[in-house]
Amino acid sequence: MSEIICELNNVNFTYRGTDKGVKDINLVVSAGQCVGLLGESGCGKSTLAKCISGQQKGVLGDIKCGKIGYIFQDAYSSLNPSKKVGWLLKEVIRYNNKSELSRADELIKKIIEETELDMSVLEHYPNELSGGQRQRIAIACALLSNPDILIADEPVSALDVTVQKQIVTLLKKLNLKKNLAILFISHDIKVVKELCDYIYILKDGVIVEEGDAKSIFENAKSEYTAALLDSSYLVK
Amino acid sequence: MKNKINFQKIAGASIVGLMILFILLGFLNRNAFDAMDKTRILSGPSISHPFGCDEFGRDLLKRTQTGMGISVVISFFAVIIGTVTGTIIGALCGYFGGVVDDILTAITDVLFAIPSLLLALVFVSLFGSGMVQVTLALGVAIIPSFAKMMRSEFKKQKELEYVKMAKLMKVPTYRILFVHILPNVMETFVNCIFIAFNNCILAEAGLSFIGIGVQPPVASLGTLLSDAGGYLRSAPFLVLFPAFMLVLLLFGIGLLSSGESFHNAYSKRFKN
Repeated sequence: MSEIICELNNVNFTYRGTDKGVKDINLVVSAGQCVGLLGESGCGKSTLAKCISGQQKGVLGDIKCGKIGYIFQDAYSSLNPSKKVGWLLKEVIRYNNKSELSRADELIKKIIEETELDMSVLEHYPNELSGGQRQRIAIACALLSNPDILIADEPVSALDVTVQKQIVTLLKKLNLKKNLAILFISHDIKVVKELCDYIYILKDGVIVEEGDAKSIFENAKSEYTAALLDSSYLVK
Repeated sequence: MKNKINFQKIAGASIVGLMILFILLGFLNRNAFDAMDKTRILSGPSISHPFGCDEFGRDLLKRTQTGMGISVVISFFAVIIGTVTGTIIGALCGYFGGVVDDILTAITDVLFAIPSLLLALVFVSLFGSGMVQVTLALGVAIIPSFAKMMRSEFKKQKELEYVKMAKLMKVPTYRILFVHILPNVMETFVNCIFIAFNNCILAEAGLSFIGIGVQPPVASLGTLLSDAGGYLRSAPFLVLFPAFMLVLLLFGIGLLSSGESFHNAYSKRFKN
């Protein structure tokens, strides 16, 4: 059995003054696995991602996770607008891979190739690049920190369909090539189906179903999952 | 895209440039600013003394050049004190929030409630008058407004994902504040500096005018106006020339800071 990279046991979190949050979450991501977290908007997917990555304070329960690389939904605001891409990538190495700082240029070149970008992007500011290029740079930043797991919080929802496809293909490639664990969060059933091998279905902050992608899509057990799949004309 | 020519900024930069040249020429001939010529007492503008001479026969042009230079130097250092301190306080309040914010905001709110000039007056009354004291007083007086502006900017920025990304990437807090966030609030920062500089020039003139700023024989725009007060009817040029130069300097700085932002590139990067 593959090594467990991220494990959540009875994780609970509630936003102050509301009953919204996540309840009794048990989740496991193993090395090389691409796990999908699927649910409608507002069901707590991003909240759970923030809990795992330590962005949310006051989380109860047990979270054991390796080094996390995080990709935000909006690549437009996740890259510092006043810095060039080359600087941004070097900054990640400076604080996550200090020993390799002397060969930062080499690492950057390698990651630029892996994320299928052109070296010329290094001299550009994020606003000068397309949405797809920015999201690739966000992925490059996350990868440069040498993560054990990549948490991708709706990384393609702000992109058009063709770019979505490219980013999903890139993530799949990285998943296979680097044996990188990915927790892919999305409300887009089609994207999750294409990328993930194991899926958790989240409703109102509670996991209502989990299983292999195939079993979920072919034989959904919970009513909510069935309704969710039915509601998407994209799924055949 | 072709950059538009900003005429306001060009005009402002030209006026400020001329003012700086005017001041520098005065400093080149600094020994002469308090040279007296009894035969020239209250004489009007002439070729040898274009601004005329004051009640001691001192050349008003040279005194205006020196006075303006001193006003600018005082304001420059006061702005540095106010900017550095105000930015650090504002950044800490806005970024950390919570108790740090509550305490520092309470202190700046109290300071903010006291008019800058009054605060400077209290400072000068406590520590005496003179160039250093006036500089410190004005610097302290502009800290609250700077801190307020920077607090709101840093508070906005810390919610943006690039800051969250930097935190996740384990970038140290001091670096997030001053290397990651500060360049993105440059637009407000630079505008605040211009406003503060203008306010300092005016406040320094005000303090010196009421006699608790720069002390004679050192000239500043305020002392020149104050000294000329008794000769409004007999020698109005003693007020007119320094006042005109003061207004021109403020106008130039105002133009320079108006119109499109100095750091338009940053705003464009955000808009996109």
